[in-house]
Amino acid sequence: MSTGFRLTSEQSMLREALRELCATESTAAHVLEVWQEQRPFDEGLWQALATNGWLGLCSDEAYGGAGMGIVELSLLAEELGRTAAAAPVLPSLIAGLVLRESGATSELSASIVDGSTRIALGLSRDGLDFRAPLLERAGGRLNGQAAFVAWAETAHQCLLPMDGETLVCVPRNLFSTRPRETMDLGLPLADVLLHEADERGLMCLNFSRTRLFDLSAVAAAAEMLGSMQRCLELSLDYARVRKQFGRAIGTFQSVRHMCADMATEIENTKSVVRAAASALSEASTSAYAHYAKLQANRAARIVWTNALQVHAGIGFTWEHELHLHIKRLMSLQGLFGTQAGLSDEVFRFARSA
Amino acid sequence: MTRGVQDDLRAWLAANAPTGTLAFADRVAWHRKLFDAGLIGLTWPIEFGGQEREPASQAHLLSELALIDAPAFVNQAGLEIAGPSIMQFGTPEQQARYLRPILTGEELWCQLYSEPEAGSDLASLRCRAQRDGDDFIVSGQKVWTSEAGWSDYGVLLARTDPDAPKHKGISCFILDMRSSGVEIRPLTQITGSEHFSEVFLTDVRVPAINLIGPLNAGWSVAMSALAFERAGNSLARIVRYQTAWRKLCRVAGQIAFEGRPLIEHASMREKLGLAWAEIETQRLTALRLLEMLDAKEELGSLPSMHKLSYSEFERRFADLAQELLGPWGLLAEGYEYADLMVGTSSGEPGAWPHEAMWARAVTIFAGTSEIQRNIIADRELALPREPRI
Repeated sequence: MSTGFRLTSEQSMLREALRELCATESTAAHVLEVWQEQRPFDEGLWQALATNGWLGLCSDEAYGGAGMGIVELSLLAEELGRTAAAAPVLPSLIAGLVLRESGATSELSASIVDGSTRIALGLSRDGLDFRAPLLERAGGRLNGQAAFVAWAETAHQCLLPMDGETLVCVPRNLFSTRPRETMDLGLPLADVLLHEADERGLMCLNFSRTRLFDLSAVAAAAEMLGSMQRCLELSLDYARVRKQFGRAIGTFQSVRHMCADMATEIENTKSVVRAAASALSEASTSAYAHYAKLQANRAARIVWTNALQVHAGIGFTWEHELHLHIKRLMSLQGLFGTQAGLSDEVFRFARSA
Repeated sequence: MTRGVQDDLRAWLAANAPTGTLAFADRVAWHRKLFDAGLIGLTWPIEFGGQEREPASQAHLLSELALIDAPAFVNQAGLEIAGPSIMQFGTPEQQARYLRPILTGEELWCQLYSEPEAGSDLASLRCRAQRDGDDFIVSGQKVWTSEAGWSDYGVLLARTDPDAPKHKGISCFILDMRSSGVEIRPLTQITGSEHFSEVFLTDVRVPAINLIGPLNAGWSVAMSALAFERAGNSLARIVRYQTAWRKLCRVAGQIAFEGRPLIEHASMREKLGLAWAEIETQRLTALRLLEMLDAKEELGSLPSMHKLSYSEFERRFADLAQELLGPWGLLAEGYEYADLMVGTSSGEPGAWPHEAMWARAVTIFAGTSEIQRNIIADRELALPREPRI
């Protein structure tokens, strides 16, 4: 089994290209503008990703996709995380992967690739429990809800687990949304509500709910990894130029050690995110996905705390880029698996192994 | 390690590994058995009696020992400090004389680096070595020397040029521990055992042919051996955390609290689940480092980050065991539950309070957590340096 720690040259090139694209299309000033103007999402970035074929990264080649997997998807998530990108990319890409892996022959794949369809993922009834059923079927009707769904309002379709092995794809006219206000204006959340939705004609996919969760958790952890790397970069840049007591604050051991702790937790996160993505490209589900999300959650708390402390007052302002990352890390920490839920799963797994 | 090699190794270990607390002489005998089975010096060059296998092979062997809670081999200072230093910097005569008995365990070594006034700031060491004909005359005091009482030889750092800048006036020597003027005083440590000693050196004659590497180049000799200590040794340590985790769970399944086993309480499960995920994260970074070592890639400061990370975790984990076990975690001996006995990080079996104490050593030895953070800030993050005094 590949460990996934080292990128192939193709993967490195892919990452470079993404970094370049994000550096021009998703600058901090640009992202802040999206926030400021309360736009639904960053259409410029979305278009740029579509034009350059990135939205088809994981979709079937028959529909214009690149046919890649979770390893490449997590590299993309990492790069989007670095710029606190405000676009509904990851759920649609995961949906593209799901469609390809479940062998669905649907034009939906093509419309994901060209950016005309956005898909949201409804993973949990309450945002905490990823195993309890979300939907009830009776008399050809679906009732139920998914809570705290990322990018639900701007989605054209929502993918929800019907049971452990089946996902159902529900179009926007069959669900309503209840927006949830959070401080992260670049990752909008809403509850997805199904009331007497007619299930005739809905596309069902044969796909494990556990795998969908694992993929989402690893993508989130990878996005957090990128965001944390940016927090560290910003902190290092600031520590080199900010002078107090006649010297750069980066010469003070207390500041240096905060940065060293950030770097250490980021490297640990990288080890486990890479291993988890690699494991999920070879097996349906993996405990590594849980380890990755738990580590990302733990690391994020250390990184946003230390980064803000290094920046001090300036990091507490709206103009500075840092708050975009702090809020994104907080969002992702609370989504796709929390400490309480994941640690109990890990406990049961480790006890039985 | 391939599956077949691993199966053979496991079968051999199952048939041969001793159990329980071993006296030192028995640990030496166990070491010899490992040597005879071709399991010592896996990564050493063939010309020096090793097997020239990839760096990870040793780490995997040690982790197999950890998995069954078997004692590790003895002569750590010989195998990991003296041996590599002599292989890289020693004369052919030194290599012919000293390397094989290090492997067999017939000659045991200790490390004579730290001094009362030179701990984290090792380069400020004051032990003097002055040339006198074919010898050097050495005087000074060393401290925290593990296994000094058992050792035949020591790798000694001493100042040979007091006028040079502090890193450039140090030389590295082979010291015969039975030389006249060597006095060893065991230190009783926090656990109550005598694992390390103070070593007093008074006008000790050391032949000049015992110099390892060039005169005044001792600092680079010492630093090159530290690289492996940080990068290659962690996997077994982390596997021992897993063994300890399983024991902690077993004993928490036996102790009742509020009418049900301790382990069934939600707070316990959350903390243990988190700890397991953290252990796995540490293990993955260890594997990543070994993969880099095998591929001869630049390791950068990753070994320092890893050491900082797993040692801080070890301390948190020992604290967690104390927190979860309550009064049962206090028992040093005389317990009714076998799983209150854990393999401590020292490689000697002990109970949970020993573990809690020993966990304090790992954030101190081989560069404290603070020194690791300095290394990371300097080399990896390239932050401006602190003003040096």
